[in-house]
Amino acid sequence: MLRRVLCLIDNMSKWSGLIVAPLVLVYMAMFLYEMVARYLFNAPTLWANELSTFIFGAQFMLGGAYCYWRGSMVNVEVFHDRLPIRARAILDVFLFIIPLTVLGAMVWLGGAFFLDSLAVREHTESLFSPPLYPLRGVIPVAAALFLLQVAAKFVRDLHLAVTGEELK
Amino acid sequence: MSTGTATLLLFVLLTVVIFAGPPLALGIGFTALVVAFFLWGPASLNMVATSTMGTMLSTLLLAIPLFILMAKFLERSGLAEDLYDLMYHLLGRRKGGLGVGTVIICTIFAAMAGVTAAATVSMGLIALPSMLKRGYDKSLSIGCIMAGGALGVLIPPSVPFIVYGLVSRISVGKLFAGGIPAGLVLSLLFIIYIIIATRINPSLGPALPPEERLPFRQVAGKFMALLLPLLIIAAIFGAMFSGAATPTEASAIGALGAIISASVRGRFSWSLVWESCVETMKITVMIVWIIATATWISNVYAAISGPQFVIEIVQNLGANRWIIMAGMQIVLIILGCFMDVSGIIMLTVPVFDPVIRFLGFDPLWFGVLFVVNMEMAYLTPPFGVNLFYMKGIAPPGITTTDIYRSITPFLLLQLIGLIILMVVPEIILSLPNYLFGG
Repeated sequence: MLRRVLCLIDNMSKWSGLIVAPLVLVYMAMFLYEMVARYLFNAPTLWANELSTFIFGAQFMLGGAYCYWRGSMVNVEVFHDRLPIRARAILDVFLFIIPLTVLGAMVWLGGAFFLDSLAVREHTESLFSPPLYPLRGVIPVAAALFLLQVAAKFVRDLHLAVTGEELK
Repeated sequence: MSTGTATLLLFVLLTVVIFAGPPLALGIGFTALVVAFFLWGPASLNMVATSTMGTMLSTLLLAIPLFILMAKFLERSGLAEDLYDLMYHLLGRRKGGLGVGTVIICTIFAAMAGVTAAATVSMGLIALPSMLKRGYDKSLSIGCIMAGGALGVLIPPSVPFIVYGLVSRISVGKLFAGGIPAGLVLSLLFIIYIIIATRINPSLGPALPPEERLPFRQVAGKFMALLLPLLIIAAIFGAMFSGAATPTEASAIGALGAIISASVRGRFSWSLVWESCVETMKITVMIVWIIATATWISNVYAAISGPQFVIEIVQNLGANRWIIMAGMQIVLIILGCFMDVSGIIMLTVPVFDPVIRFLGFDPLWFGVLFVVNMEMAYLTPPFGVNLFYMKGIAPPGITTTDIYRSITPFLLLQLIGLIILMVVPEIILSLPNYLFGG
């Protein structure tokens, strides 16, 4: 049961990352379109800059869980990574307070800001003026996905710390 | 709590937390939240939503994934093979020529890529086996590839300059312009070193035997290899420095150029595109999460008047400003041994930049020096990333000790380069002043 839940979380992290990865091509195309429109047709767009920024904002937030899962979130290794594997798991169990605080605050307060923004149908103050609340909603969602993946690692670390064996 | 106590608390907590080894972005964010909570209570924690939103709305940041995407395409475009083939036949006939050629290719790659991986990995796979086969010294071959690869972050486009511009509010265009002369100075130092070393001891880098030398007519045909890289460089630099495009737009042009190059060389495939997208996201997310949470901590630092406190300390020291400058460079070198470059920039620039302005130094010049210094962070054992790239692709006979040993002379050259650029500020400032007016 536990293993199934952990596996499910891994898969959520994996797919949330793989879904947003190709977005880089989308905003690349938007910038190119904007330049062609501006210089060749003398008709700059109102939306390209802002929309591509929105897409990237959502992409890097939602990519957090995936990158953590793949181990590409760098840390200061000098002490941590030299510990024997079980000692490292014990340390990581204590360090869980760090992601819990940071990501928990992002879920909680990010969620509150999203609800406020949604209630007033907040838009940006540009000419294009797209709605801002979807982007505000990305913060709690992305942080929750990230937190789930960190919690899955916490359970694995705890298992390793207590029993000395890895939970597959 | 006084400014002094709060600032010290911030620095001490930050050091303890990040050295315990959590993901850097989360450790930085945690410190910011804890200090803010103790100083101002729960309302101050709103920055996790407001300040993060600010990061998500920064258009400049989009240049980071696009320049990385460009590098990922170039890595697999086959351009490096063509360039190496040219250098092999053009310079290989001289002592040390393959080493010099490798540094030149790394310099060209640096002008197309914003990270160090592109040149280090490409040259490690192409130039290293070839140099070893020709009897080149192991240390010299590995060293020149890793040091040359590190130029990627100094010669624009460059991801660290984008991060630096974001946090210091100095124009990224000007920083890029300052990075060009600085990068050329380092590149030249590497080349001179290789030439002198192989003159003194020719067994370090023997010339190709006469029967392998192609007649010049055939070599001339290989100059076509330069065409695509020069077009890409001209497009990016032209767009950016003429003011026709923002750095972010130039990065989109560059990424397109890299895709086209890969297609022209017949290397285009959807799996190449897919893998490049995923790799790009992995690196970008790591960097941008650090930027996001480090922005929280710089908000806290500004709110407790940290900059004024540090300036007061500097004032009370009463030391010569050059001693303070040297002290900062030493701190950066030490941090570079342990921490990721984006993290160092985000955490130290809010502290150093106000001091630099107070001491009357040019902040643009310091920004370029900063990145020159950061190049060493990619090369210093035990955590320099270029050392890992090299270890990952080097042939089996090459040990970690070999890699550490090979980098030593190049680290000294880096240091000499840093000192030259510090003593003669005109080198760095020449190009930005010419392009943008002093």
